[in-house]
Amino acid sequence: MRDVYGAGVTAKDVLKDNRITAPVTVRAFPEALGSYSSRNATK
Amino acid sequence: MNPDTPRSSAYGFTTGLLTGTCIGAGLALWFAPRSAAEIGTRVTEAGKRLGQRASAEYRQAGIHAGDVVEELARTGRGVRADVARAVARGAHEVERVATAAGSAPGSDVKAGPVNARSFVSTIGALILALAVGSVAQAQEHLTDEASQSDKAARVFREIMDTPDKGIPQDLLGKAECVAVFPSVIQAGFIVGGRGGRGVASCRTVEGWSAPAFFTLGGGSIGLQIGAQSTDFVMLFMNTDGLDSLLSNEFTLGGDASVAAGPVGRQAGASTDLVLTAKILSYSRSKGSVRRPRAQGCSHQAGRG
Repeated sequence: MRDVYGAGVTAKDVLKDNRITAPVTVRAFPEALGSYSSRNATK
Repeated sequence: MNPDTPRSSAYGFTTGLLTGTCIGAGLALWFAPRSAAEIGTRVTEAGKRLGQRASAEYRQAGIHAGDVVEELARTGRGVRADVARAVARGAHEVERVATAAGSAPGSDVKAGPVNARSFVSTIGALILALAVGSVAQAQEHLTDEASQSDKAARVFREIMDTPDKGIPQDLLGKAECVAVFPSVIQAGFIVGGRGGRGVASCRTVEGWSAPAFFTLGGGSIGLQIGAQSTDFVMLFMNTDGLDSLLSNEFTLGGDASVAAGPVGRQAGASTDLVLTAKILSYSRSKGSVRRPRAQGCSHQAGRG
């Protein structure tokens, strides 16, 4: 995970903080999820 | 007594006064031009002397400046010579070290002046190789995680597109997070092990989050033999389920909060099981493992 997001970034940061953006190379999984369910979370 | 005697005295005084005035004026007129000329001459001579003195001072200053410049040049040449000597000493030391390294037992490097360059070139090449290796390793890790994301996406699409056995759309719509662990390997003979890697993503206000990567590992004890590769898809229905995933105590297949999710047209969103479950699990296996006893599988976020 450090190689993708840098040092000090945890799984919790990635999953709950929408300010962290994924590199293009690892976006396949979120894109697959979005193609079957596009509902966004509510604040 | 002569009555003309006072008149004669006055006449004489007047005549003398006029004569004296004329003589004084003449003398003044005679001397005045000569004084102006002398003053002019003196001023001219003083100017000439001042100019001569200024010229002399200028020449002296020029001479001194030349001396200073020459002194600076001599100093500069001295500094340059010192630097050159220091560089020469440094090169000599490098050459001496390289020669010593080349003449060490077991070394096939020939001693000589060329070895200094060879030594430096070798060190430079080594540093460059290490730098390139580090970059390549980071790129490999990134490529590895990209492959992990691609594999998870493929497994998820395949499960979703399985006719009558896919994950119900309404359940997926209620899930807050989805994790996919493709090809989790379980194998063993009495004592077994399980391992694999997975990807998770959660809903955010702007869509699905960036993927987080997890590594699974665990073991099982009991009568078992064989090997099995299983794809796991887990729906985390609320934040409690996500918290259990983020905690390092989450057990794949053994957690009480994990329930087997309904598939296909069993739109079981209204069942008690689905309403109370934090996590719904889906799996498909290849191969077989018989009679697993106690089993557990903890996970670790990232590459560990």
